[in-house]
Amino acid sequence: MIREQPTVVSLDGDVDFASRKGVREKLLGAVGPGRPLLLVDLSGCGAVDSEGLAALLSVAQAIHERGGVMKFCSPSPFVERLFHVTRLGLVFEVHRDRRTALESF
Amino acid sequence: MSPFDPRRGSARVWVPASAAFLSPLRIFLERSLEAWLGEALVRSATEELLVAVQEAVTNVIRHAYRNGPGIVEVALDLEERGEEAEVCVRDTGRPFDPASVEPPDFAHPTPGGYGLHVMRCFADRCEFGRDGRTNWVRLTRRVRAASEIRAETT
Repeated sequence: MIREQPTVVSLDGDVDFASRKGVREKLLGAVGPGRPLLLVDLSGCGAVDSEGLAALLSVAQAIHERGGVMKFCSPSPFVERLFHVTRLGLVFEVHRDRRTALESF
Repeated sequence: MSPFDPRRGSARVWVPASAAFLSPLRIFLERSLEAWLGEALVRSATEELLVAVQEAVTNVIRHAYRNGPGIVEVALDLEERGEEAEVCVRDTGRPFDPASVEPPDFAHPTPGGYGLHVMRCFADRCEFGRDGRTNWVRLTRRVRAASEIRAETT
């Protein structure tokens, strides 16, 4: 069986009110036509706030509407706590590291 | 006068209501707490407090000033024993009633509406008020390791 390979995008710096539009454009711009498969590597992320989360959620929904899948890997402990308190950890598929995430596609 | 007073554990800054100032503001507050508390600073609690502050300032930009011009005052104070940090965010924009904000619909998440929830989760106390024409939000969080507090009081 040939495993589908996702597009991997690393987010660097803050994902917040200031950067949310750029983050959305970067992620949606990285996936090609057809069924998008996207892995977002969060290991380089700085601060993430609710506006940054909203941008991530809107991208995930856009990809889902196209029949695709978006997953995350390598969140910092802070991002894990943010996912937990917003309960978006139940909505997003989050993997501890990139290798495990890639194997899950 | 410098906005940073290393002796008193207090710092006060005024920044334009602009997203461009969010990151520098967070870094300034973090460096101030580092300077006061050093190794005793609890990183995880500080990260959470500072993102709660960022949520408060973002609310001011978006709702109080509706992305228009305005000034945000941010005051950081460390209580006498250095256990708790208190950050007060003030603006002179439109009044804000936190009771009017619906909680997030966790069962059907939508992109937006998490700001107030994050502030309340990441601060030990989160209070809102208005004095005259000034809105304020006061966020308090214990940021000093308990072992450090005990060591100084014994």
